[in-house]
Amino acid sequence: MKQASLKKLNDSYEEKFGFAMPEKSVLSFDFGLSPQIISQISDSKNEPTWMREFRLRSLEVFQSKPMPPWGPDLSEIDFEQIRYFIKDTDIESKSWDDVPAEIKETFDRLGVPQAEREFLAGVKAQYNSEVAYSSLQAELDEQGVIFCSMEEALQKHGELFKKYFATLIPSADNKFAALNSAAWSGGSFVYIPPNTHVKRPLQSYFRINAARMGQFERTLIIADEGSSAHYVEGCTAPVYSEYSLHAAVVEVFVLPKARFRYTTIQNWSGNIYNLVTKRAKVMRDAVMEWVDGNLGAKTTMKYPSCYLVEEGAYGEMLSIAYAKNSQIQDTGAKMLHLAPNTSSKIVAKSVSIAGGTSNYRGLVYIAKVAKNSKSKVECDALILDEKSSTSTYPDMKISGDNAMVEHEASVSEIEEEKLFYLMSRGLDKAEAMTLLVAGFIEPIVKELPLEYAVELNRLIELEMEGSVG
Amino acid sequence: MQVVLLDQQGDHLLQPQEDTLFLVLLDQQLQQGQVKVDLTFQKSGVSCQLVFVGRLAPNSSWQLESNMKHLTNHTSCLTDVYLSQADRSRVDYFGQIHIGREARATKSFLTEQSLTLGRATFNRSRPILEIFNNKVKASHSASSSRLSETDLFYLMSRGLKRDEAEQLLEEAFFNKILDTIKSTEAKKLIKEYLAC
Repeated sequence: MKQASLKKLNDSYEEKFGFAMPEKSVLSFDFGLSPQIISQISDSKNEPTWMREFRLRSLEVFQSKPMPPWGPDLSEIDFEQIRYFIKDTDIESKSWDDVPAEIKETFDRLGVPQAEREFLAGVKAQYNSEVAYSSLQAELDEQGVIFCSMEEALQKHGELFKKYFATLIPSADNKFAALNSAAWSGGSFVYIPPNTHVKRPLQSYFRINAARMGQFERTLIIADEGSSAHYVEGCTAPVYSEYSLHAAVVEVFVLPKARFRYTTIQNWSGNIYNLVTKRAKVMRDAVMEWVDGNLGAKTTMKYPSCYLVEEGAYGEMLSIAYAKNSQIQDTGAKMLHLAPNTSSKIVAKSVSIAGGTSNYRGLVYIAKVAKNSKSKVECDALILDEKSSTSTYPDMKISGDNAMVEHEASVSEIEEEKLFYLMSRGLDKAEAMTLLVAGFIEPIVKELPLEYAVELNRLIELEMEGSVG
Repeated sequence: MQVVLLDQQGDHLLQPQEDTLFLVLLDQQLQQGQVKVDLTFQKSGVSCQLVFVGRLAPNSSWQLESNMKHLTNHTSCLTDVYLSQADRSRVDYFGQIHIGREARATKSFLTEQSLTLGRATFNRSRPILEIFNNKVKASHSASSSRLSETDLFYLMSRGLKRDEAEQLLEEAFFNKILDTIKSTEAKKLIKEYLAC
């Protein structure tokens, strides 16, 4: 097996979060992707034939599809130099005590939010490619909620799994969805029974701990009729000098009158390409909310979407992008109104600093049948220095009668008046700017669970240190 | 500020040297039209306004494009696009604001408003911002909506027929653009266009 030489970046991120635990993988495969490796992945997971065939078909689709002709430069990605599967622990841990000490130490150093410590039983921690820790909370069991790894769901809930898997994001959707479909490993499966309300957020942590390792987790969520739940995923990673690829796929089915919120705090290290496909199918009178915080990664391309397919469906997207040090945050949202009386809202805020680039790319589509539909989009960008840049690329296609669509976008720097006021109250310039940035993103931060809001504010403070003033 | 009335069809590639209001009044009879206006700001201190006004005929199809390129400092531009759409009319608007690295102290704003009067209309709007400088103020807004049923009901309850009420509200919609224009010459041209 080829050995990747690992070298830590000399970046401030390292002092704050960057650290690498020794690699200790039970099972991993060689670099590159081939039908043999796909079959090995499938064998190692003891998958049914249909899944193996699906993976192999997806591999063909992946190989036949070109790279996207638009968006950030992805030419540096060499798919032959990625290791497609690593498994840290040979069996999925069933209790916190069984979780390897290195993994616990990693989470300690990450400053895992209090919520996780209190409700460990409801946490799934993904470390490298496979779920390392999983313990279902007793109350979830009582409610009949299924919250497990995708592998476990495939084995134990095969019918339900097959009914929904890859029906919303087929492998032919895009090149990276095809890659994920071929090589997926890990991720969460969630099923909320009808009229069940899950009070505590379902939480999941994802980690990458090996250079040149792609992580292709797959998440499948079904919120049955009249149910409600909140799923939270947070990401942070050690620092390596060689790039890694994270190409996840998330499918969410929100059945009639259900309500689902999917929150992501993404803080990959500065060498990772984060190329994610997220999509929700929203049925009659159901509500889907995406809350997305993108801080890390070398390049992020992420456009969560809502397909509002039945009357009265509502989709919402709240996002923050923070781009620093030549990072590219190419994020946005898509709202497809495919039925009458549907509505949607997109609020996207971005901060560009120290040479960072943040782009908003979004689509609002109102089909001919989607009469009386409404959509509102707000994009606000802060650009904090002359080396940074920001762009918005919205697209609105409106055919439905009586449709109402509003789009607003603005770009500005921090107002001198506000800075002056805060500095006149005794703050230095850096503190004042940090406070103003916190105020700028506050409408979205307040939608996060408290622990995550605290963590996000702390991350912003740390990222701003030394960048201004 | 001088006023320049641009042709209702074709490409206009312009580099304004003085403060100018560029006006495009879309042909109300035409079934298919295409207008593109590029304003490249290379002279410091120049301030411009670009106004598209259009009452799109039934079954008509339009492609509109505006590109504001700010390449030097202290320039400003307002882009206003006001359209009303009759039955089965289609419009595809692309509006870009690009502010370059050297274009400090730039202000550029874009407003696109589309009023749907008829049925089975199609409206596509792509207002793009590309900003490579922090000493700027830039924004765009786009909206597409129908006449308010509440407003129509009120006017009809005062004795107006539906057609008359719709006409009145359309006039009010276009009057908003007149408020943003200082030039009396331009106002006169727009009023004459709307009176047709």
